[in-house]
Amino acid sequence: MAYVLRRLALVPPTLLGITLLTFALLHLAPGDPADVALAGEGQVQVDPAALARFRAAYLLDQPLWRQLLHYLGPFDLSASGHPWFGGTGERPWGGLLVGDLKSEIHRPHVRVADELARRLGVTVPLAAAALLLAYLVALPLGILAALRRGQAFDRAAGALVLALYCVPVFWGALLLQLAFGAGGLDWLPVVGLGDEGAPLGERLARSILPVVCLAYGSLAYLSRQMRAGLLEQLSADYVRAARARGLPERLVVGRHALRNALLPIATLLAGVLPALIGGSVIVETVFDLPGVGRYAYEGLQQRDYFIVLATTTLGGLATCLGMLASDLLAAAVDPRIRHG
Amino acid sequence: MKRSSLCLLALAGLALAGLGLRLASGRAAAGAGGATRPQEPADERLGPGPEPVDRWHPRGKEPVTPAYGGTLRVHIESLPPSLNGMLLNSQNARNMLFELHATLVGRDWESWEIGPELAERFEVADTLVLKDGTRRHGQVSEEEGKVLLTEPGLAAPAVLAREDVERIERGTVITFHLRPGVRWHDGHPFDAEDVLFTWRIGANPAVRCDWTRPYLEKIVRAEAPDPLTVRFTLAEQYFYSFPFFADTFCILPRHLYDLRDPDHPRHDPAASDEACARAINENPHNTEWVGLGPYRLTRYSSAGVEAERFEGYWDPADSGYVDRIVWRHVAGDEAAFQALLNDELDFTLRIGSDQYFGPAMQQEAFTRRNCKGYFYLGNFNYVPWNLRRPILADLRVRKALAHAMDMEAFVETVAHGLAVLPTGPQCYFGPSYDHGVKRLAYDPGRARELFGEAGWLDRDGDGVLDKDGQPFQIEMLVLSGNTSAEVFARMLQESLAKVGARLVLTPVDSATYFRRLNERDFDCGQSGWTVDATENDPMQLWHSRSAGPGGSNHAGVMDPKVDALIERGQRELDDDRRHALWRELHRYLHEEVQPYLYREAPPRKFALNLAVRGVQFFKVSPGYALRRWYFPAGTPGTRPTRAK
Repeated sequence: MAYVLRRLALVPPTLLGITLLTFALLHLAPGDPADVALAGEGQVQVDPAALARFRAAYLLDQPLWRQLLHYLGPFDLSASGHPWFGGTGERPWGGLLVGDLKSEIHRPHVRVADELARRLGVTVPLAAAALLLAYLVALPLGILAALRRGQAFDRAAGALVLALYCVPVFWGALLLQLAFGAGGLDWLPVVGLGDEGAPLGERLARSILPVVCLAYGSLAYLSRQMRAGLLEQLSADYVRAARARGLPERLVVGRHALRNALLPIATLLAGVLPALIGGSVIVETVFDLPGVGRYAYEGLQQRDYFIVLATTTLGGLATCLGMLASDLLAAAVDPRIRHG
Repeated sequence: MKRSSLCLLALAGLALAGLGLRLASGRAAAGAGGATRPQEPADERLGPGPEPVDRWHPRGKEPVTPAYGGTLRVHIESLPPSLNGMLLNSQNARNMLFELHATLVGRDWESWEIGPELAERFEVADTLVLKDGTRRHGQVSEEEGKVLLTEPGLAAPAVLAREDVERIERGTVITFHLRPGVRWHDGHPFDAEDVLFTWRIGANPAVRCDWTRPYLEKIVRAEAPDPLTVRFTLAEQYFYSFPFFADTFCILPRHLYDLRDPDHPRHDPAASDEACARAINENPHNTEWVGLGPYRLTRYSSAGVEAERFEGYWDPADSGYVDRIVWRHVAGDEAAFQALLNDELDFTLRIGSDQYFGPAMQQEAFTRRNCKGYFYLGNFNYVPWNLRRPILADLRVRKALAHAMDMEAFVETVAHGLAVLPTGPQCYFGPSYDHGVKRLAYDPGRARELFGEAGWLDRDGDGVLDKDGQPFQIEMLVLSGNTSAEVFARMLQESLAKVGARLVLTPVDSATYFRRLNERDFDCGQSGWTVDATENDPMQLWHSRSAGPGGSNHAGVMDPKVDALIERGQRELDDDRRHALWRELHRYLHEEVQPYLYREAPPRKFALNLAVRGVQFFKVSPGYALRRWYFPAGTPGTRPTRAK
């Protein structure tokens, strides 16, 4: 319990670091939300006074430290913010520390947290399904490849997963669309998740290709790790000893080698989870899914600092939790870690 | 063991073979598609007139019976963050508002005339500015050194001596008589207070109506003599005063936007201006739009915007055929095309030239359910030269740059020849465009001559023109990801290299591009304008007052003759005389200024579901009227129309 608490205590400083880094990168990049909001379509005359008003409303005309403090909270530093900082006191509190992710800059009536929650409803089930699919396929594939080391199956599996690993997600997604959409085999819908009231079967059908796309990169990675881990265990002394004692091969592999080989696979969860969230940016854009990934992409396009900060913070949180889950999982499967 | 290995290999082999076959067939089809140019209809008509129905439908000449019902699914590539037309100038939002909202007066799509809409009638009167400073309003006429003023409600005109009159401001008092019984989509009655409130938001600097504020500020007074009458008084005569109410003025429901309105859910008679502004800027109805149009918004989400037919629409004869319109947000053009193939979209305008002429739109998967076509709207692309830069300040240099580029070859390359090449800023198909102005022909020899006349010669023999020891080198900002801009930039770079001029290409993102343009920190770039087919006020683009930071006179034209022509045109209320002034301006800019190198004016290319009929395209925005589209009788889910 103390270990979990110690690890949880590391999450806030990690998130703070991610926020600081993202904040710095956003401000180093040329252009700001005002440029996009007032000249985005390039059709309008940009009134310098309007530009100044816009920048003032979002503190873009303020020093960076003040903008950062405004985002972090707990004091709202805007004109209607806390009186200690020259505000009217209408909205004294705000910022990340009080769980306020601000409002979208281009749709000021939309709270980023609310929109993020809506988008998570799309991204999380897809990521979970992709994770499950990747592990379900990768583990048997890796185990079989290890047990058939050097044989045709091992070589074929190696070539296949290497090929999959090399296929960029956006290209793979487009190929899958072409192959299974109306222009190809016409087996599956290839765009969107359907209407809100669409039957479950339709929504599942629409999820197949995005889930496959999200999973196949991890699948290659996981299966190779599984194979390598099992091979390492199979060559260990304790396996040789078990075989020498006359244990059946099924038990040698299943009870001894495999359990130890699963340890690094469990820890890989930490890397896979944020990769799925990251991969969702491309997959959600190609398959037109209104999830967190596309939200992050739209936020970047519009230079909406609050959307980008919120989505990167969420990605950071997913990474922290993934690492924590990995450690706990590692402790569960390895008594040495549990007692260590 | 062997069987499983073989299975895996076989699967991988099949997958690769399938892909290979597909790519091979794609290439073959691409070759075929590239070789044959499709038959296109005859020349586009210039000016207003009737537009054919179902022109692009392969069975468009066969009569069909319209029916009510069905859902029309229209692609949008980006979701406007707001539908409030007073706050945001967004093409997609305008296209939606066209069905979700109504204006005081409306433009006929074919005749381009402005006629009644929410206002069942209107009157336009004049202002008489007397030498003692007083202003009197009414119908003004002049005869034999006298000025006759017929004020509202008075039968006999007042007679004034000409010498007592400072000036006459024509068309400066506009009175709208609103239709009775019109209701907002939430059932609240629409009246003059809504119109007045919409005008008043311009006076609150905290309201983010920056793009409409300059127009609102031209109105010095607004009043509502009764709940169904609104009168606007303008400071001075301006040709766009009246069209503003048709094209731009987006009436807001006061009961949902004005905190001081007793019917507002959070009514606060003492609300501060800041609070009122927030209630507008951050109003949830900016997306959950409540309007006055034939379609009522039912859902706004990241997936798009959905609307259903509003049975309470004030004009049942023009209330639309389909029951629902879904503007579906699909960010990627390829994904949108796949959705179209999959029968999940009925209409998309995101069709590129390569796609239009390529195999994708010739395959059976496309043609069995869809047709393609194009229509011209007033949009064109151009290269602005920054005249403030000494290297570009000489007219001969700008003409040389124009002569150096083979624009026909460019249009053939990127648009397969399907585009017109404009020479001026007004819409190519409108009455303000001078078709007598001819492009500067592709002539590298003439380009070299002009460079030479301007003092740019290759003195050191390094292949690059130089002057005072400096090479001729300019930078072009190129929007990353814009394929046609990238192709054009490379072609221009090669063309200029042939005449000894060096063009450095700098890829930038859109925010940086517009910032540098607005800060005048550029030599040249590539931009696009969407202009109305009817006419456009050139003030924004060419007047010296718009040349300062933030103004749209990016080129930096500061020419007294240009300013004078614009100012005369702005005050000219006679359409024919004003169009003639705009044509004169067009010719003068072409011959004496050359602020832009005009690229192409491409048509909007579309793909459309064959099940949709009644389709017309217009040259006035938004180019089509979804309310006229229908699914023919007999289509599942439709029902017969009532007698119309």
